[in-house]
Formats: sequence, structure tokens, C-alpha cells
Amino acid sequence: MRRVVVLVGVVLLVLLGACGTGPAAPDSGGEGGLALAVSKINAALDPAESLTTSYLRSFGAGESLAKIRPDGTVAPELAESLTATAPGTWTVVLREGATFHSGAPVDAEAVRASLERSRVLNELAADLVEEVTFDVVDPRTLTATTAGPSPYLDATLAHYELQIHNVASYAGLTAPATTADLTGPFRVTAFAPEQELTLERNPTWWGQAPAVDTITVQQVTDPEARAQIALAGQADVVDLLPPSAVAELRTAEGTRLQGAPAANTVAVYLNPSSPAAPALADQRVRQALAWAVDRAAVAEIAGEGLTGAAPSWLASNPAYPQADEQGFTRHDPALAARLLDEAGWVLGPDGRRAKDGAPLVLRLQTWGTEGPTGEVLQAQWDSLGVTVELSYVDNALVQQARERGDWDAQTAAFTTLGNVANLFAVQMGADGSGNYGRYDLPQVPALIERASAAATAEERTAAVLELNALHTEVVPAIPVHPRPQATAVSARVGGFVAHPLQYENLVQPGYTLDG
Amino acid sequence: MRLLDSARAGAGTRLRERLRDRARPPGRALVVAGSVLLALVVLVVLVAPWIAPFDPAAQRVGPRLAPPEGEHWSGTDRFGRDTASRVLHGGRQTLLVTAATMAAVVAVGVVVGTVIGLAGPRGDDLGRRVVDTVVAFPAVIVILAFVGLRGPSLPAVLGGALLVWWAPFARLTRALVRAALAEPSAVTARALGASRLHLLRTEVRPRLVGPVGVLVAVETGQLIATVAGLSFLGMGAQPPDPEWGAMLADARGAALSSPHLVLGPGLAVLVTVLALTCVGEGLRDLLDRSTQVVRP
Amino acid sequence: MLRPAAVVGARALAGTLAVLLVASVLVFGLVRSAPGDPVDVQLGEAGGVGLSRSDIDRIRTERRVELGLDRPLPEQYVRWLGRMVTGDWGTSYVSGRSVRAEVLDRVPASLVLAVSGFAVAVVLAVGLALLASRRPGGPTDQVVRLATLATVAVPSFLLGTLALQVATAATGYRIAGPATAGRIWLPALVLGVAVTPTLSRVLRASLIAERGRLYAVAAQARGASAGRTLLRHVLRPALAPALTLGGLAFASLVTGSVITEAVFSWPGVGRYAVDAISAQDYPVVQAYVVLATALVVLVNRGVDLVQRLVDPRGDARAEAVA
Repeated sequence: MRRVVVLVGVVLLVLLGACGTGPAAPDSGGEGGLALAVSKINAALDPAESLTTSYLRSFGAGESLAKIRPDGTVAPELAESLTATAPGTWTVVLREGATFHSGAPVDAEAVRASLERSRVLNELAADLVEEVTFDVVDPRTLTATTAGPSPYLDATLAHYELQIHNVASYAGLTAPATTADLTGPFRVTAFAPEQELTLERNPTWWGQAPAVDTITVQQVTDPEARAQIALAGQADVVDLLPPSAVAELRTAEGTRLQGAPAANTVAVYLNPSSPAAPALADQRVRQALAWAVDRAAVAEIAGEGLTGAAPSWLASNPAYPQADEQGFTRHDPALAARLLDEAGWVLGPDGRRAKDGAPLVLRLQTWGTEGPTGEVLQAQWDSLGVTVELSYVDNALVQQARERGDWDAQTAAFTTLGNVANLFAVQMGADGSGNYGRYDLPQVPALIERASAAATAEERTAAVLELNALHTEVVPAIPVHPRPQATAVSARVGGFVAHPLQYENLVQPGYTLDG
Repeated sequence: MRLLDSARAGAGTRLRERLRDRARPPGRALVVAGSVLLALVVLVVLVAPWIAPFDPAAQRVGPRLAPPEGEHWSGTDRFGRDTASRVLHGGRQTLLVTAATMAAVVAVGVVVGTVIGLAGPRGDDLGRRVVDTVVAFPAVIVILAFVGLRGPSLPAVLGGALLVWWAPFARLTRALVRAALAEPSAVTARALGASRLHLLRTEVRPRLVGPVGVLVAVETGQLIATVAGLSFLGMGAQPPDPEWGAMLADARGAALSSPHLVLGPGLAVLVTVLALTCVGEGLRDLLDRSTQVVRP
Repeated sequence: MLRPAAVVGARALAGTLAVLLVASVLVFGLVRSAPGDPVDVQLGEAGGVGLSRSDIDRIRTERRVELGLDRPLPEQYVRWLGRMVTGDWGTSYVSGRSVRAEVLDRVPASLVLAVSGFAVAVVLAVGLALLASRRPGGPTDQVVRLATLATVAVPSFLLGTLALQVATAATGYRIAGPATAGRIWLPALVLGVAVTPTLSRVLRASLIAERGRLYAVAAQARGASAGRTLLRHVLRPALAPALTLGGLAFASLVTGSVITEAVFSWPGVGRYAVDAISAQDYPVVQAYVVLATALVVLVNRGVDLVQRLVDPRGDARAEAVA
């Protein structure tokens, strides 16, 4: 009996002890400390690991030779300048006295070694610099050469897969790296994979010293928990907030909801050779579906007003404002109905469209954060007489369906910022990995060639816009809206600049902290 | 000494009976009340298409996230859909999945449990261990893996639940079968040459119905909560069809700012489970009286 | 005469191993028949870069060879089992780290949470059961049993999210962070409340049964105080059936408080396993399931032992109560 009493007593004590420690003081990492709560932290620290790179960049640890400005143009970053010195040659001049976190100098040889290491270890990096040769000219200068013209190479070198790191620090690794030796304004001081990352100001950074001393990044996977953190002021920057919390965050004191729409176009990819939805083989049907989308409504409901309409695929790229005038610039259900009628899919007495007795039904798969978009589209197409079977699935199932060819419509949000000609090749080229429906468009290779080889920026832009127009005509994918980004930034943080690239919205060197 | 013993025993029996009398809540009344409530829930869900004020899938029938007032007496969700209509329609999926799963797991569990209960000591030992392992296994993970494999759909959830949920029933059945066969009446009947089938019918079955009924009540609540948990993990019911658990999962973050989104489906689940509980508990009370065995 | 014990021990061990082996085959089959493969999941995030389809095909083939995924399934299984037995649980496809290191990193957090959650449940369950069994069928009993059963139907994500919102507003509860004492009380409370109903039910039933038993009645007749009778003659034997169930509940807490861990950003194994399932991180999922099974089997054995200590009678009836 005594044992039982003791047991109960111990249990009570443990319980009291646990409760007694009470709540921790809400903090944001001290006066000069910045606290971040993010949906995911990298699992490793090696900038040549393809799934690690974007995180290192977003937390201010890593840099590339160039960066992309909020307006979509390219600016030098670790490099002092990047200049196209010949049609196939870019000359990169490095900053004088720039060093890695470890103190090693960032000279041309170190940069070349870093790029070559990424090429060897990281398939994505390898693809970016596939036909590029890097040569050291002098300690501060190197050239990047391609066989043909390479007007977009500066944008390519701005990619986070090509962050410059000190190869010597990563030599002889047998396990994933637990330290990082890069060049960013902050350097990593502690790292618990997928849990916590801490950084401190890099005293030897080439730019103006950041006002933030230290940064604590914590992984909080549950979006509702992140929303609570933002509302309670327990972190200064909180990313990927759930739509359900947007209204509350807008009116919350002590925090501001930030969100430039991302340069990723959420689009519905259509499979023209789907056996289950033969209607999609008809271009008029695809166009009809695109005209029937009330983009403003989708942006308001699914995007909680944090995004707008994307009438064409390129519209989410801020560097191409002309793309906002292309494509499906209005909601035109009448035109949609007429196109469907022309295609033979006519309204039956039950309010559903059918052709030769076969109803117009399509399966729409969504995943990730695109569920609500699918739900609104389902309702909008339903009122057109098109039945949409919606399923919210895992990425793996989406990919498998694609591999088997057993799919009708899927949402995806590719980035539109970067090497635009190449991005269009991915979307519409015969071998493009984003050409889900495997459209074979004979005009595309020539247009891409024109965009890449054009002598002037104007000609390049004209070719790109022509590609974009072709996209809205063939409709391999229906553009809907730029992907919304909801980031909460506490009122004590100054200097936040909203950016169309998600990874540029977390740590910015220009932050100031009051209080 | 002997006299004293029997006197004590007599006192004990009387006290036990007194206790049991007190422990005898109005079983019949509970069963009736529970059944009526359950029937009401089922009826409301069945006639939902006629009594729901709006199409549950129609968006923007009212302002978005409107609080309860006027024609949207239960408010609207972020798609501007009528919450009351969604709760009414949502019961169909919830009840269907739950009922179908429960029927399947009870059938499988009782059969497996009976087989183990009738097996020899070695088979019984192995069977018990397997069942105990499955009972303690994290159900959510197994169902999640299964649903991930088949794609989220009603049959996938059902199949996944079937993989693990039979075990508590098998566990209970096995114990009951063994206890029943150890009763003097069963031992006598067996000695007199009764077949196993006969024993199952006369000795085991009457002792099985009550406890299994009680377990159904408990497990149904847990099943509803687990199916909702699948929605939370992104593997639940598919839009636009409403489902109580999925509605709860969608609204959980807004539980304080827009409580109407949680209250509707939450109350629906609560009433259903309470009704089931009343039936189960009442059933047990009734059975306790007839078999004179004290059970939970 | 040492033989019988040795035989019993060997048989128990063989039984345990058999269960584990069966579980390993099942999990291997289930995991490997999932659609897609881990290489695709990893490449899926690469969409923005602009690989061509043929590049992706090439990379996929290379990576599959590298990971040994191109070999026949039975061969993969045998290789994996062999490594598992020698303590090499493989490398996570996602992080590239040793699965053993990653799992061991997270086990303490899960264990602490499970123990505290279970402690909460035991305290609540004993309290409620004592309350309810005082006057079986009385109003308190009825209210307690209906309330506990209704609690079962509240999904833990809802309970957890609500608790988080209230606690954050009221006490400044820290939502994010490592597994510390200052953070554990809330998830432990939520977890405990979720487990309480089943435990308290069983306890109540056996308490009522034990109160009516001869020795309890006799003790009271001898003039022992009600409290003493309750503790000495009723509570202790009544714990036995609850132990079995409690053991099972505890095991499932350790292995899978998936949802609570997710809601409270608790760095435990449950959430880790769920993430691994969606990323198709085979080595992680496989190791997790085998370990979870081993733990469950161990707890079951442990419960058998403890039960014999608490109630040496080994009452068969105790098992019928569930």
C-alpha cells in the first residue's frame, strides 16, 4: 500500500514541479537579438546540399555573387560588379578585402572552387551552370564563359544554389556539415537540425554592419502555432502564416502583416492527353476554363487579399509589368460559355455540360498551400457547368499521377524570376520538367533562341512577351494568382522590405531594432 | 469459526447487493434516451438536403466569416459558405465513415478474439501478444501511412482504420470468451459434451454483447476524433463535401476569433457521442443485472 | 531444475522476435508500396531551377542506384534487416544524417512528454474514479462518466490549439523552443486529459468491484476507517486491471503523440515519423516502426510483471474489464 501512496505522491510532485516552473518570460532574444519562427529549418549546413541552400540564404548566412532586387532586376552582391563583356562572357570583379566567416579571403580562386564544388555535388547547381566555364583572371577577377550568348547569366549567378562558400572548410566531410563558412552578414553559431539555428553579426562583412547582434531561428511546423507566436509577439519575424489568422493579424497590435505576392504563379496545369477528361485536348476548352476564373475573387478568398490576379503566367514577375496586360485580364464567363458551346460541350437540362452524352468532368489535384485556391476554382467552374472533383493530396501522389499520365488538372507554382527564357523552356519546351501536359509546340525553341540571343534588351523582352502570349493562347496551364506570402514582422523591427522571393523576406541586413 | 466465516460472507453478499442496487442506474431509460437522441441525429442528417437553408458547397452565399445572425444563424466560413448547412450535411460523411468502420472493426475484432479465446494456451499467448501490440500501436501513423498510400478518400480512411481498430475488440472478446468458458455452467456443459459452437451460443454470446456495446461507444468517440486528426494532418475528407472533423480542423485556429466555426461541428460531434454513450452505458447496466457480473 | 525457466525465457524471447520480424516485413511492404519514391520528393522542391525532364530522369536513375532502390525488394529487405540488427539504422534520405542519431535526439523529448502526460492522466483518473465509485450510479458518477466519454470525442488538435491560445494570452506561455520544463506542462496537460477517460473508466469499475469484495467489507466490519479500507484493500487490487490498459496507453503515448507534438512544436519522434512518411524517407519510417513495435512489446511484458507484483492473485476476471 505504501508503495501506491508513494507512487501517487511522486506523480503529484512531478506534476506540480512541471507546473511550478511556470511560464517563461516572453522574449525576442534580448535587445539586439532578432527572433524568427519559421515553418522549416534546414537539415544540414552545407551550401552544396540542394535542400539546404535556400535556408542559409534566407537566414542571412550565405550570399551569391549577385542578388535579385525586389523589382526583379539583378544587382551585384558578393561581387562588386558583373558585366557582360562579350556576347558569351561575363566578367566578375570581387569586392576588395571580402572574407569568409572563418577569415579566409574571398578571392577569385576561392569563388571558382566554390562554384565548381556546387557543380559537382549539387545537381541543381550543375544544371544552372551546365555550359559555363569559370576562369580566374587575377585575384579579384574571374570570367564566366558560355559557347552561345548568355544574357541572363547574372540572374543565374544570383541563384541561391550558387552561394559562395569556403571549399577548404568543407574538405574531407564524411557526415553532413555542422558548421557553415560563407560570406553573409550573419554567421552561424549553433545549429540543431530542423529545430533551432542561431547566428551572430559577421564583423567582417563587406557591407554596412547590421544593427542586429544575434538571430535565433526556431522551427515551428504548425501554422496555427506560428500565428499565435506572431500575435503574442514571441518572435519578430514569422513566415507562412495561415489564411485563417490573416484577419486577426491585420488588426493586431505590435505586429504588422507583410506580404508582397511571390514571384511564383499559382497555375492549374492541364493534361491534354488525359483519358478521363478528353475535353482538355481541345484548346477552346482550356481557354474557356481560363476565362471563367474570377481571379479577383480567388485572390480575395483563397489569398485573403494578400495577392492579386495573374492574368498571364509571367505576371507574377515584377520585372515584366507588361505581362499584367496579357492573357486573361478579365473575368468573362460569357466568353467561356461560348467557347465551350463551340467546342461542343453544351449545357444540359441538369445544368451540367456534356458532349455526346459524356459529362464535362475533371479531377483537380492540389497540394501544399494551394488547397483553398482549388476550392474556389471548383465552385467557379461548377457555375460554368463543369464538374470538378477536387482532391487535396500529398506531393508524392501528385507526382505519381503525372508519371502515369493519369491526371487531368494539378496546381503548381513555379517561380517566374530568374533566367526567364530558360523558365519558359521549362514550362513549354518539349523536354521541360514543368511542361506537365507534354505539349509539343514547334514555335517554342525558336522563340527561346530569340530571347537568349537577342542583341538588345528590348528585343529580348519582346521575345519573352511573345512566349508569354503563346502560353495564354495554348493554355498548358491556367494562371490564377501570384502565390501569397504572409509574413508577420513585429513593430520593433524597422527596415523590412517586402520581396517577391520568399527566402528574401526573413533576415535582411538593413533591419533596425528599437526597444 | 466456520459460522463466523459464513456470517461474514453473508454480510458481504448483502452489502455487495446493496452496492449493486445503488450501482443500478436506470439502464432502460438511458438506452431509450440515447437511442432517441441518436435517431434524431441520424434523421436530421438524412433530411439535411431539405432542411438546410443553403447549398453547403455554395461559396459567397453571404459575407465571409460572418458571425451568427439573420439568415446565416450559424455564421459563414472563410469561403462565405453557410455554416449551419455545412454542419447539417457534414454529418452524412462523418456518420457514414464512422458507422462503416465500426461495423467492420467489430466484426473482425470479435471473430479474431473468439478464435484466440478458443485456442490452446500457446496460441492464446501468441494471439494475445499480437493483439496487445496492435492495440498499443499509434493508430494515427498507421492510418496516415495507409491513406498516403491510397490517396485520401473515404475507403482509404476506412481501410487504414480497419488495420488497427479491430484490436481492442479482439482483446476484449478474447478475455470475455475465456472468462465465460471458465464459468461453472460452461465447464459443466462442456463436460456433458456440448460442442464449442453450442457453448459460444449459450455461454459466450450473452456475456459478449454488453461489454462490446460499451466499447463501441468509447471507440466511436475516439474514431471520430482520429478521423478529424487526419484532416488536421492533411489527409482527411475532400472538399467541397463538409465533414465535421475536417470543419473542426479547418477552424481550430479561429476558435477564439470566430467561435461559431468550431461550435457547430463541435456540438454535432458531442451530441452524437453522448447519444452513443448513453446507449452503451444503459446497455451495460441492463446486462449487469441479467448476468450478475460486475463490469465497467 | 533450471531448465523450465530457461525454456520459458527462450520462448518469450522467440515470441518477441517473431512479432518484431512480422512487423518489420509488414512495414517494409507498406512503406515500399507507397506511390512515387523519395528521389522524386526531393527533386519536387527543385521545380524552380529548370531541370529538363531528361535531366530529372537521369538524376533519378543515378540516385536510385546510389540508394540501392533499383534492387529487388526482398534483397533490399534482407540488407536493411542485416544492418538494422547490427545497429546501423541507415541514413535519412532527407537530411543525410544517421537515422539513429536523429531518433535518439528526439526520443528524450517524447519520453518526457509521455511520462508527464501519463502522470497527469493517472492523477486525474484516480481522482475521478474515486469520486465516481463512491456512490456508483449516483449523480456524481453519471456526470463523471458522461463527461469523460464526451472528452474522448474532442480531437486533441482542437483541445491543444485552444489550450495554446488561452495559455499564451493568460500566462505568456512560450510556444516555440526546445523541450524544457517551462514548456512541457501544457502539452502534458492536454495529453493527460485525452488519456484520462479510458483509464478512469477501468479504475472506477474495478474499484466498485473491489469495494464489494469480502476482505474490504471485512476490514470495514473490523472497524477500519473508510479511508484506510479504500487505500489498503480497494485501491491496490483495483489498480491491476488498469495497469494493463495504462501500459498500452503509455506505449502509444511514447510512440505517437503525433498531433500533440505538432501543435506544441514539441521536438519528439511522433512528428518526426509523420514528416518522414510524407517525405518517403524510408530508412526513418522503417526504423521508427520497428522501434515502436519493440517498445510496445517491451511495455506489454513489463506490465505483465508489474501486474503480478501488485496483484499476485492474477485474477482472470481483471482482464475482462476493459
